[in-house]
Amino acid sequence: MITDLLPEKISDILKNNTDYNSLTEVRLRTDKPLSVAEYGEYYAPCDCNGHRYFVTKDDIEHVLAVATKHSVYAVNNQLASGFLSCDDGIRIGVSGEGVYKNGKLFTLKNVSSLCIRIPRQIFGCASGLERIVNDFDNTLIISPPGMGKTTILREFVRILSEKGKNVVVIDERNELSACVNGKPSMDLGANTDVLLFSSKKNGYQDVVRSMKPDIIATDEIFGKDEIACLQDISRCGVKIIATVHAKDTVSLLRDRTYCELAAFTRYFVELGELGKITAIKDKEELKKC
Amino acid sequence: MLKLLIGAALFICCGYAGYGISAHYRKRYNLLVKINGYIDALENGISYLQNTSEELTKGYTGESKDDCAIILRRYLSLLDKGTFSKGDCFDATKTHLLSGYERQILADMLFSLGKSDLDTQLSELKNYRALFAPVTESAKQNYKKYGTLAFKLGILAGLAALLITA
Repeated sequence: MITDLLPEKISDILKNNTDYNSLTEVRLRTDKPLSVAEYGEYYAPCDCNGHRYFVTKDDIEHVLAVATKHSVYAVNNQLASGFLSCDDGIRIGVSGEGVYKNGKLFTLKNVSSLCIRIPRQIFGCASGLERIVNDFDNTLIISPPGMGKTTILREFVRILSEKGKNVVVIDERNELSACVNGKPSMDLGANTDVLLFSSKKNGYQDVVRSMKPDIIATDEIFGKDEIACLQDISRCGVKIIATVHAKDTVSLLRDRTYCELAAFTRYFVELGELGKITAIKDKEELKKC
Repeated sequence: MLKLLIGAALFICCGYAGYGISAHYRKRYNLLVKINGYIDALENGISYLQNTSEELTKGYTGESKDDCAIILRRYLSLLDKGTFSKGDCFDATKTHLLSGYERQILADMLFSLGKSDLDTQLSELKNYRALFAPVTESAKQNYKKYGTLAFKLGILAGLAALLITA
């Protein structure tokens, strides 16, 4: 529960002002008002005296201590990548001062802002994707951040898995599966295996060789290297479902780096509003046109 | 008859006092051995699987009710609290078996646990092990020397008291 992560004062404010079921994000910035989002709508909740609550450095330290389980050594790599993954799939975006070692970002210190994101499993949210499920091929889910790509991907994985496909989820940040002690707390279907905290590059290589998947699912493709890996997997005959940040298919494929995705992707699923599929573009149909 | 009873009571008292002093040395030595074992467990657990300090501490204490487990359970309750100070850690190490200096080392170790990256954490634990090693060795010598001596002296004093009163 998110309340386990937060200091008592903030927990009380959330209890009195928000509906936990609709809470999607909590933002803590040192010396700035506490900000929360319910289904993407931000507001600053007030304490019992009607005042906005200003986040202190101690609040941030408390969250960091609890989120790292007082064991920075175990999560330093995550911290250097700007996030912390907690139980129940809660992901904390972290920003502060970077500390470099041998020219590489080694860790973060003087953390000043935290963005706590609460994952939701919404059964049925991928109901518009039956067409793809029935004739499955490489699929990209495209939207700007915070539109529900991960939630739809999770549901899509569950549906495909329940259809009997062996799906391997490469969950770099524990967002998709929300594993607790290695066990997914989100329902990803009966035939899904999860590779947790492995980088996409390592994961792709290991998984294709060892787990013999029908489909590999992964979140947030970023950069040339990951695209090259996906291309390689596609060549192996394993299907891919992935998400990527972009406004829409056109703007994605206009980019010099990301246009290479078109070489092996058949379906482009666009999300225009929070959790709403606004377009499904099939490359085969576009070709015919 | 009364003299014999008084003598027996004195014998029991002296024997018990001797046993008590001996037990103090034994408990102190055992506590330090356990602390060293805890450092071992931390080093192994952190260097290989990188388990959290909470998991490692819980795993080490288990259901045990010894002095080390009592201290570590106090530390675990601090972890549950969220944030805590060095002073809180020092309070958690409260025991008559350790000197102020030894408590301070242990408190510093518990406070620093989990606050740095893997390499730094392991080298810190190595340093704490080096600090505890001579203390443990000295506690062992003291237990061997004074612990057994105190027990024997207690019995002897008890016997002497018994003979004198009888």
